[in-house]
Amino acid sequence: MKKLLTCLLVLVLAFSLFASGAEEKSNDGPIKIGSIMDLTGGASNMGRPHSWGVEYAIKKVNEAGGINGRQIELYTQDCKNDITEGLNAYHKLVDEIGVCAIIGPALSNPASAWVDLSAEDKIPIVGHFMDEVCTTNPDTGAVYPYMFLAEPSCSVQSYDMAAYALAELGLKKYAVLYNPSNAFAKAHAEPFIAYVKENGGEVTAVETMGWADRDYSAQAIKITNSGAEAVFLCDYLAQNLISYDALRDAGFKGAILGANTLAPPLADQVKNDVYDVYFLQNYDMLNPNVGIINELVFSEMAATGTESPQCNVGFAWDAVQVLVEAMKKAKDPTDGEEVAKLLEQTTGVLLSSGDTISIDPATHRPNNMGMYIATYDENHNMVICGREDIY
Amino acid sequence: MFLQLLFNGISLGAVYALIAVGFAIVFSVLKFSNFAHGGMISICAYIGFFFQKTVKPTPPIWVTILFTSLCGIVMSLFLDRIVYASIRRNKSPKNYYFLSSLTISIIITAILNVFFSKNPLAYPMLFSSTTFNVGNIRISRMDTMILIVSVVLLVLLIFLIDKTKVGLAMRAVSIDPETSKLMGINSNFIILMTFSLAGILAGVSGVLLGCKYGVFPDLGQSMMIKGFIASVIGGLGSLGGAIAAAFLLGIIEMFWTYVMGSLSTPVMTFVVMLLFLFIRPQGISGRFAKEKV
Amino acid sequence: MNNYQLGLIMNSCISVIEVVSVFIITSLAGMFSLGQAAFMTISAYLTFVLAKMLHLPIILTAAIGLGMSGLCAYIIAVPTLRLRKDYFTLITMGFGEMMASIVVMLEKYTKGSIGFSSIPKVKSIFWIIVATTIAVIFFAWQLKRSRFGRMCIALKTDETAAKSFGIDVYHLKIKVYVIASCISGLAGILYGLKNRVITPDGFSWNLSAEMQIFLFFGGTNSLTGAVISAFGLKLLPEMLRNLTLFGVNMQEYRTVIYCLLILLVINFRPEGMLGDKEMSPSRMVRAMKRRLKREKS
Repeated sequence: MKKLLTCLLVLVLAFSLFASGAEEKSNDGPIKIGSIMDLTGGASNMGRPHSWGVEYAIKKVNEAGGINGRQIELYTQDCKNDITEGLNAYHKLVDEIGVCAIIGPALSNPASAWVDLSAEDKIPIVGHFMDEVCTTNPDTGAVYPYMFLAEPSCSVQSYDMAAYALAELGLKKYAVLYNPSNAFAKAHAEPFIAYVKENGGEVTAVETMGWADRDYSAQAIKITNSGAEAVFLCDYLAQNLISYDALRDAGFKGAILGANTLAPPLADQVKNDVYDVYFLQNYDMLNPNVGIINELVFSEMAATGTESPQCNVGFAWDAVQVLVEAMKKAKDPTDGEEVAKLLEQTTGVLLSSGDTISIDPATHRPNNMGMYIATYDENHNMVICGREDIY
Repeated sequence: MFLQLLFNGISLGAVYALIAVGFAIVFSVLKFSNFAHGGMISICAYIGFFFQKTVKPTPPIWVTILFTSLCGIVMSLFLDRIVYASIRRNKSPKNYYFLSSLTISIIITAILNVFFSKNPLAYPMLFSSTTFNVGNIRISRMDTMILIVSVVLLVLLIFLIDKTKVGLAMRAVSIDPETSKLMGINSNFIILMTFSLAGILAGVSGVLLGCKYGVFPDLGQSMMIKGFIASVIGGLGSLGGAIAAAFLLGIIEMFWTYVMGSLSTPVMTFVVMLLFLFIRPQGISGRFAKEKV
Repeated sequence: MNNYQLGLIMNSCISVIEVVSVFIITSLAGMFSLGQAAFMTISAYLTFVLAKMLHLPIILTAAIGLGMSGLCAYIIAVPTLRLRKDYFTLITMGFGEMMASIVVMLEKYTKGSIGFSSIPKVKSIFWIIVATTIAVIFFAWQLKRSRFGRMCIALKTDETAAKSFGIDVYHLKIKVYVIASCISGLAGILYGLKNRVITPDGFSWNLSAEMQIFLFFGGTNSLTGAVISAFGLKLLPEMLRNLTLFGVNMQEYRTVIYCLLILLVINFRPEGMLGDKEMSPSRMVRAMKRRLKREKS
């Protein structure tokens, strides 16, 4: 009997899953927008502030009257930085809930599975999947018509870092330490190496590590012996911490350059002295006088109890602004085709940084955004020390 | 250079040894690979971190290690009570232990991820200067501490197992639990004892790994595979073999990474593992617990 | 049905194929593999990378991929299956780790961690997956009932006795492992066709562990149990996406919830959902009749 009941229960659950069909898109009700974020899994430390930011930004849009008088309904789904989960989340939002646009996550692996689907379903996706394979086809260079990136791509960011180091810091010899199994790191390291080689720098060592490695001292010794003046680190925070200590323990005295994952709390968590650290920043986060990024970052910290500022809140805000602006201009904001056309012509949308964004129709990536370069002062506070504008 | 890499390899080996012995001790008595150990290490790292952060004045590191070891014991016994005890009662096959520990390790990582995924945490700094020089080798103070603690712990453990009555009983149970019961050994107590020892090891390695690498949800999980490989090369369940293999693995890995790069390290370890099984299926130690018929 | 539901069914079907391969290894021959995802990696990457580089039809490259899976399984099996069973488990795990790093090493062809996405779109992929799943289940069913399957079960129950009956245990185990690995490879190819992007992270160690867990949940010796649990447990986390308890969305807790469920089953119903029993129409009719009879009397 028990078995029979269990079977029934499973059947009922299964049916309840399939019972609800997609609803028709209506012309005057609320506008449904989806958000797919890494709420769990290895990247959730970035995904959660990101998701919080989307909710906050949509709330603000609704308070200001919504899109031409229509309110936005937000549906958030978790993608666990996994392709299958990402596809499930996508189909759930598009086919079941019936959203008309999606705000995408900050990592590229799940997003790379949506490139063709979004075109078939005509669902514009605006996000921070920084890897260029998410916006243009790597084989043909053709743009994916419904994928839009709202920040400089990994390559652009790495060029900015390399340009700053070559020109402003005057360094010539570089080494790179990264985890090629991490798509985020790989997408930073390769453009960095290419840029340095093209612009008169020398790459003395390219060292790697894997997910299961925790000791990078052999790599650090090799880099130190190679005579590099600077090392580029571009992994997640946990790996960067170990890399930093391994390098300094091995006696490396040069500059440490890196992606925005070198941002606080890195300086407070490493065991060695912090000096000559330069890293990328999308925003002048701690400056209350530019844009609203400062307000965003601190409201998130107050609301969720996080101890360090997270720029992902700003990403979320920016993506929502870009999408909402396009929707406001559209005759029918739920018409994906029209919204995508308008997104392609995005210019002058005000972002949380206080600057504006315009999107290049040929790449669907911004063509006017540079990056800040930040460093740590002796009290381990982050200070902006420069800006690069290569796009 | 050679000496520098050798020293780094030895200190990496000490870390692997701590983990490998945690598996080997459970394997030697219960004959299953305890996957939950990696998760336990992560939890202990978090417990130690919050203990250091909340207790004022900040306790010295050895107090933290003692405290987390106690927590490790409690958690081990708790896991045994709610999961493994019923498997023993049902006399289910060994695979069930294995499978339960697998599930537990997934749960632990998932729970830690839900609560602590915001950012990695770092223990307060232990030493004002992080390296000192001996000749022209740079030696990290942290590595030295880990090396000393783990060597002391491992020596104590081997003494416990080889020279005391409890150790004798453990060895007896590991050979044949039923017969040792007939001989008047309380095999249930011995099993709890084994789990407690594994708990202590998890507590100690949690704090040490947390100090060295920072505290994040899959700290123990990600190091687990290396520990397993060491315990395989050492001969499953043999403590001495596991320790020797762990140091060997640490040194080989260090030199391999220096010469060939780290990408091919998993390929190298796999080949080493296969070769070892081919040449010396009884493991380094030579003690070979034959599968019973 | 909409694409979401079709997608979920396809995921579940792929999971069923994976679990059937583990069923053959664990339930028929009593071995315990933690590296089946590695064979998914091998055949998926070989199939799609060769198809793109040499412009061959997928059917052909899929055959090469499956063959390679089988070959790799053979190479691993030959030295390890003579040893203790525990060694086999750990070796398969090490093999899985190695495959992931090889994919990253060969990034020139595989695109490494960024993912290989030049996978052609296939028409009526849903029916292909469903049909393959049914065929695989049917194959396993026949295998279990065949002379080969009975030999395997004899070997699993008592290896020494099986040897004394003249069964060549060692070669039997190798055959079982090769067959099962080809089936895993098939699942990998279908996964690639469905998602149209493959990354080394997608075939991680967790996937191999998940397959074993699904198998034990369904009942270690029951093919139908394994199939049902693989199908259902793959759906479960998706069902939990919508669930809200005490005002908290359960989305973030879905992995925790379903692991707890599995622990409960292992604890209170150690033989799994169906234990040793198989569910077949005739058996169900018989059970119903018995129940009716009992109620009458």
